Amino acid sequence: MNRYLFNRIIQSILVLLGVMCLVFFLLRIVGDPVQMWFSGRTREIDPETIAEFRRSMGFDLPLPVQFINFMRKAIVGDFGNSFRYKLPASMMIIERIPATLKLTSISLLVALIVSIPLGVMAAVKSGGIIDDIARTLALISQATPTYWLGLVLISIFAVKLRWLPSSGSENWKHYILPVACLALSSMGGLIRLTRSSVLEVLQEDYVRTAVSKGLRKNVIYYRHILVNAALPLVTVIGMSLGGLLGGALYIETIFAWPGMGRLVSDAVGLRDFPIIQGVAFLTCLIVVCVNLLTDVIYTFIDPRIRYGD
Amino acid sequence: MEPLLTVKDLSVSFNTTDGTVYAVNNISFDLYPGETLALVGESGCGKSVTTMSLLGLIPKISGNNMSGTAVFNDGVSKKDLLKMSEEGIRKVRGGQIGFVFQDPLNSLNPVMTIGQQIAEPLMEHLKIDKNEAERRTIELLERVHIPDAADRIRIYPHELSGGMRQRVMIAIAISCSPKILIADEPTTALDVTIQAQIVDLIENLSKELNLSVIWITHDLSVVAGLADRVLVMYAGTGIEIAQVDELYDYPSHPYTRGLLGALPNPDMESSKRLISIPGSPPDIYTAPYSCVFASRCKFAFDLCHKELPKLVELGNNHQAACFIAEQLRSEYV
Ligand SMILES: Nc1ncnc2c1ncn2[C@@H]1O[C@H](COP(=O)(O)OP(=O)(O)OP(=O)(O)O)[C@@H](O)[C@H]1O
Ligand code: SF4
Ligand SMILES: [Mg+2]
Repeated sequence: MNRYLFNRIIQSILVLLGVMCLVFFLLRIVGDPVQMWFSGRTREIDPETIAEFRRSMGFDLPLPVQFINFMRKAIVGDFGNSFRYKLPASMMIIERIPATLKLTSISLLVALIVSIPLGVMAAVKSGGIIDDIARTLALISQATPTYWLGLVLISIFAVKLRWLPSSGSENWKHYILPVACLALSSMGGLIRLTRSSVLEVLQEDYVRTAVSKGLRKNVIYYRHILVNAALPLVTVIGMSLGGLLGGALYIETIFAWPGMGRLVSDAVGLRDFPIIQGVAFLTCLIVVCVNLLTDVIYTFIDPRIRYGD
Repeated sequence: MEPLLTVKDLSVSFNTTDGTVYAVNNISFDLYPGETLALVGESGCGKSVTTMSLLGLIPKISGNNMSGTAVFNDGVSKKDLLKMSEEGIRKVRGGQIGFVFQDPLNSLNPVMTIGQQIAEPLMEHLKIDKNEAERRTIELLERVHIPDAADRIRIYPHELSGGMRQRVMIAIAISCSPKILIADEPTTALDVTIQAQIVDLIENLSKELNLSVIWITHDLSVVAGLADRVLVMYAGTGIEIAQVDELYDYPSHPYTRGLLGALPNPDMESSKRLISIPGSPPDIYTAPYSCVFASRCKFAFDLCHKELPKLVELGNNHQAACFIAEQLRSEYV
């Protein structure tokens, strides 16, 4: 295996360890999990119950010990039982992952199918109508908050026109609105990046060489321009999945989508610590894995990295 | 002998946000089979634009203008390169006219092997299959003296030195046995020792393959050894053209005299090779209506500021665009 990828894998593992520390300590900074779990109850709870809960969850131990226990279990994917459902948090989360991944990956796919051709055309005919359309769409995409867009789409297509359902995930009709929201929110960056990286590659001397060799237009576009322009895109596509997972948090809540996003927003409302920690960690795991994957893809396209050290 | 290429009154102007740039104005020259013609002039005088326009490499956007003719005689028929269809000129590029550019570091596609990049024009123009193309690619690499050619076809540009990359560019340019090779400052970006090797390589190839070469440079001192004829350009116009010995012995345009006067003495350091004509080239936002060199010429008189001097024949196929060229030429006898 080459050195570059080896380094990236080590880096990824370190990032995940760092994330686990952050998850543990950030939540502790917010407050005492036991206090927070019982706060806001209407019924008075006797101190004995609270103390018993604290003991059973191991929250009575010194913080460093709690941390070590947390890390020991987290490494094997155990985040403890949900306070509320008394079920293993990881199990509950893993059940929800497919729904979220389906939503985000379909959204990413839609975003790519729209953004890449649009960005390429905008660059090739820069200053033309398509360029204007692309820039307007990018602006709208980047200036519109995802949750606001979700509410607007529901009020138009679900409430007023009654064309599409506003909640659930049973059939393809349920996908349209949430996918539209998420796809639109990540399109802006992708369109801009495609456009600018194609514009940059168009200026390159090797494109002039390709033209001077008498190659066909299509060959020049696909083999010489697009492949080179794809290099920065691959990285950003990987990163935009992180953004999509974040966006899915709002979208799943708004559209009652049975995924991780809604699970965690419910958990935050209830201050159900194990679930919050598990989702934070698993989301990071997904993002880190996808970034690693894009790096692998990158080394396949760019020989300078494949052989470099 | 009939010329291979006859360029007549070639003019190119660009539409820019600052106004129209008159990059090339009424350039005319012939290129004969097997000869090397040097295009010489300061940076920005229009050398690259002249040759790029021959291959339709000037961006075709509204406001950019190109006029004149460039008749290419491929032995079967004559066709005007400037008026060919996009598909027609595409077949000339790489097929009949090869191009070598200045900067070999960026002129090759970083994500394709050099073998793929050489094979591309072969498969496109000669319609040969992959295996045949690979065989010829290896031959071409040997032709440009790249050692271990058979292994090298699978490496990427970044694994080669600048000089080696320029050899690959040359291999690409000559791959389809073109009639003309255009070398646009092919050595400027290279080390001095490598420069001489590349000059030798192109000279030898042009003899072996009976190539006509248009060699672009801003360095008159390298021209003497390699060119048969020289066209001196200034501010987008051709101001003097002659056989290389004739030009060196009897420069008849004040600008050429300045350039030659500024050439280093043999015993001077090459780093002192500077053009020391006072003043700077005129801006090229207006089409020339008077002598383009008038603002810097020590011989300038009234007429020079009012009228545009035409190229006049001074005998011996020596032409210069100056009102007093004949006097200047006669000083030598
Ligand atoms: N696409 C373009 N749009 C606008 N102006 C251009 C364009 N290409 C060239 N020019 C201008 O035309 C003039 C001639 O450029 P050209 O590249 O031919 O010079 P050159 O003689 O090759 O110089 P150098 O030795 O620096 O390569 C320059 O002033 C340049 O700025
Ligand atoms: S025409 Fe006049 S200004 Fe121009 S080079 Fe000749 S003498 Fe000088
Ligand atoms: Mg140039």
